[in-house]
Amino acid sequence: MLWFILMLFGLAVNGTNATGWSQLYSGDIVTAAFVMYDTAFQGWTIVILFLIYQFLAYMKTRTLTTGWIMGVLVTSLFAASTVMSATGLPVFKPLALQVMFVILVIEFAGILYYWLWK
Amino acid sequence: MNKAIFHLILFTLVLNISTGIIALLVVDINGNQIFGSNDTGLMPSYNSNGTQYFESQSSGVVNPAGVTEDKGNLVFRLLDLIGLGFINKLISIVDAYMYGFINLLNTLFGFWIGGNQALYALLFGVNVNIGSSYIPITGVLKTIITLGYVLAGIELWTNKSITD
Repeated sequence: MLWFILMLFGLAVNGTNATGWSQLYSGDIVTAAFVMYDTAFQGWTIVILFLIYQFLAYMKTRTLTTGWIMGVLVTSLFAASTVMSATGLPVFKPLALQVMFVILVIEFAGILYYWLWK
Repeated sequence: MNKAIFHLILFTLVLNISTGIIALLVVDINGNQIFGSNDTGLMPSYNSNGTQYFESQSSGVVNPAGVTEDKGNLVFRLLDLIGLGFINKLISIVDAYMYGFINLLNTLFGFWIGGNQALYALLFGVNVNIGSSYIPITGVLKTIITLGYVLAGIELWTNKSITD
């Protein structure tokens, strides 16, 4: 039911050109939802999830280190998933990876700076 | 003054270290880096352009000599390339570590003001085409950092605060 609602939302965002039906009919629900969202957000889905997790972790713990570890975990899970290596996905933005890379690097540099010299 | 300017160097230092660590840290299911690979990240792989200071910056590569060419010519060209390459590499290291913060700003935000060529040239510098050669003009941000280094050096040398 939840996946159905999520896919309806994906359809609503995407408009008429619905994608992900082939993945849905083959029973690959997670990839189907990801394809719908990723088409709707034009490749920025993983960055949106990444920023939401970063914001939640920092808001809850007020610790930059926790946010960085959460970011590395999310990025590593995304990198190890089949979503990353799938070739049939419609949209994949290299700029999304660069945004995540810049955020992770600046966070880690801040952590090292405060740890070493502050 | 010197505290702020040297902490800028320290932050640039940890920025370099963390860039390398993050690029090596996150891998996909096959063990390939996702941030360093060209096909997914569109970024140069880490430490892959080490030869550009010895070839493109010194404008040429050493080719094997023919039978009629003087062998000493080849040796001198090779030694010249190595010497010029080391000088270029040293300048690039100084640029990376002493002006790395400005280069970071250029990487992050330079693209967004790329349409405004005059503002970009004012902030980050530009290569001006004079005659047949390109003259690098330093931007305002690097000039400000250089003034900070000079003032911090004078403060360290004389042990007097001249900026308060």
